[in-house]
Amino acid sequence: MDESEFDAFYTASFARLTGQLHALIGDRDEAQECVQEAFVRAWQHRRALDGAEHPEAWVRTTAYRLAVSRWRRVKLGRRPTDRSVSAPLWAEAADESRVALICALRQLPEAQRQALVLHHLCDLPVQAVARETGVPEGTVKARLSRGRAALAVLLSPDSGATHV
Amino acid sequence: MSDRDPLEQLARFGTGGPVTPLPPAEVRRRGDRRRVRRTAVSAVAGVVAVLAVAVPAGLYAAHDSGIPPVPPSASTSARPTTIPDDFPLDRASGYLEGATKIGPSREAGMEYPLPCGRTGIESRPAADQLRFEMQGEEFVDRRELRTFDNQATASAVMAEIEKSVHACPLERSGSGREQAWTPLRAETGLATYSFSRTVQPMGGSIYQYTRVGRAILTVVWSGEGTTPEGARRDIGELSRITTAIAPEMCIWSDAGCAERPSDGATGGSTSPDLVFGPYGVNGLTLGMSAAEVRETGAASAVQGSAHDGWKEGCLAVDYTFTGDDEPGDVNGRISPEQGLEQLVATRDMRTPNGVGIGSTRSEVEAGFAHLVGAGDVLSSPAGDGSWAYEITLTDGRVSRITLELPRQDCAI
Repeated sequence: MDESEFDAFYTASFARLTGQLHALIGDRDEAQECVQEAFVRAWQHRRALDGAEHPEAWVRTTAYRLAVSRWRRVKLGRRPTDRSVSAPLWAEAADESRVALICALRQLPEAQRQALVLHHLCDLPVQAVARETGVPEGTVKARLSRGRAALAVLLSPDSGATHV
Repeated sequence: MSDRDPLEQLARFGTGGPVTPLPPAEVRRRGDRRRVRRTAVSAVAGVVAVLAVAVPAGLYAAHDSGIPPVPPSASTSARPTTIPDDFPLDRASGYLEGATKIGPSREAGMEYPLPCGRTGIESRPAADQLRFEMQGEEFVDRRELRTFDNQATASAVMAEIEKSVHACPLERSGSGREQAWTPLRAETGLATYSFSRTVQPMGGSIYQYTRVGRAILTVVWSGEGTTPEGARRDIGELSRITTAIAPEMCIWSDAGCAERPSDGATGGSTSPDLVFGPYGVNGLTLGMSAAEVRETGAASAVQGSAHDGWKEGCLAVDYTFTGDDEPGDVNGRISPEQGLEQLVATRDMRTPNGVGIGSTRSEVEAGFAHLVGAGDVLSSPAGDGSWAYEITLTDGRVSRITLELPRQDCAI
C-alpha cells in the first residue's frame, strides 16, 4: 500500500470505522482515539496490511482490541475515583433513539454486541463475522439470535432498562 | 424512545456526527517515526555485532550507539561504557504471567515522550543501550539502560528530564485531550526521578529514571488505565524493579555503589509532596469523598459547622503533611454531594510549573498557557472544564491559589 492508497483508504473509512467502534464500545471519543491509533499502526505495519485480505477489518480489529484493553484495564479496579479526570459518559448531544440503542448495546454481553455490530452495522456476512471474531459460524449465529432477542427486550418501550 | 426496529436502527447507526481525524500525512508520519526507531535500533545491533568480531572492544565502545560518535577523551578512555549482553535487565519480571518478553537486547524499540515535545533521555548521545520489554494484555513494562560518556553527561540528562516535567505540566495530546505530567515521590536510595503522564480520561505511563554513575536506568509502566492516583500507588512497584537492577550498575560508577543521591543527579525542585496540582496535592484529589481524604493520611476532614455560612454537611480539610500552616487551618472543603471541591495551596507548595504564593503576575502569565479573567483574580481551567486553578493576586503577587471544581457547593 503506497501513500496515496493509504490516504484514500484512511479518508474513506475513518468515519465509518469510528461509528462502528462507537457502537461496539459506547464511547465516541474513545472510539475515535482508538481508530486513530489503529491507523497509525496500520501505516507502521503496512506490509502486514498489504497481506491482509480485508484492510478495513484489520484496522477495526486493531482498534477494537485497543478499546477492549482500555476497558479491562479500568475494570481491574483502576477507574479514577477522581471525577475531574473522568470524561462524561455522553459527550455528544445524541438523539434519544441513538442513546437508547447505545445503552442497550452496552448491556449486552461483549460477544453478542460484537456479533450484532459486525453483522448489522458493518454489514458483514456471518462467515466474515466468524473469521473476524475467531469463532465458528454456528457460534456467531447463536450470538446473533440471542443478541437480537436481548436487544429487542432492552429497547421495548416498557422495558425502562436503558440506563447505563 | 424510538419504536423502530432495533436492527434497522443499528444498520443506520452511521458515524454519529462529524469526526476529526488527523490529516493522513500526520498519521503516516507517526507510523514512520515508529518504524524508523525500530529500524535504527536493529541497524545498531547489526553494527555492534560486526564490530564485536572485527574490532577490540575498547576501540568501538564510543561508536556503537547508533548516533554520531563522541570523540574519545582522556577522561573516558579507561572507563567502560559498554553494556554486557547478559546484563540482568529482566530482573523482577516474574510478576506478570503470560507476558510476551522481548530482550534483554538492543533490538526492542521504544519511545519516550516528554512534555511539550522536549527531549529527555535522548537529549545526549548514549554510548550504549540495552532494552527489555514485557507486554501484557493491558499494559507494558519497559526497561532501558543507557550508558553515557561520563557522569556529567548522565547528570545533565537527568536534569533535563526533571526540568521538562516541571516546565510543561499540562498540554494537549494530539487528539485534543489534556495530558498531565506529574512528579512522583519514590524511595530507591538512589538518584531517582519519577513522574507520571496521564491522559484524560484514562491512560498513560509511569516513568522512573535512576542514574548510577555514567548509566541511567529507565523503567516505564504504560497502561490504558493509568490515573494520577494509580500512578502514586504503582510507583513503589517500579522502585522495586529499579532496586533489583541498580546494584549491577555500580560498574559505571567511579565511586562504586557508595554514591548517594546527593551528588546532584537531580535538581533541587519542589518536593513531590508539595506539588500543587494539576488534580490535587500529595494524594488528595478533587472529587474524593471524606473517607477517601482521610484514607490518604494527608489531611483530616472535620465538620465545617464551625465555619459560618457553610452548607450543612460540608467538611473542612486540614493538611497533615505540610509544616507551613497551623493545625486547624482550613485547606479545603468537602461537599457531601461532589466530594473534595476545593484545595488551597500553602506557602511551601508550588504548581508543577513553579507558581506559588509570592510569585509575580508575569510568572503566573508565563506559567499558565490558558488564563481566564482579569484584574487580581485569574483562573486556569482544565480543557474539559472539570476543574480549575483559581489564582488571586494582591499587590502584583500571588496571595492565594486554589484547585476547584466548577461548582462550589459549600462556598460561603
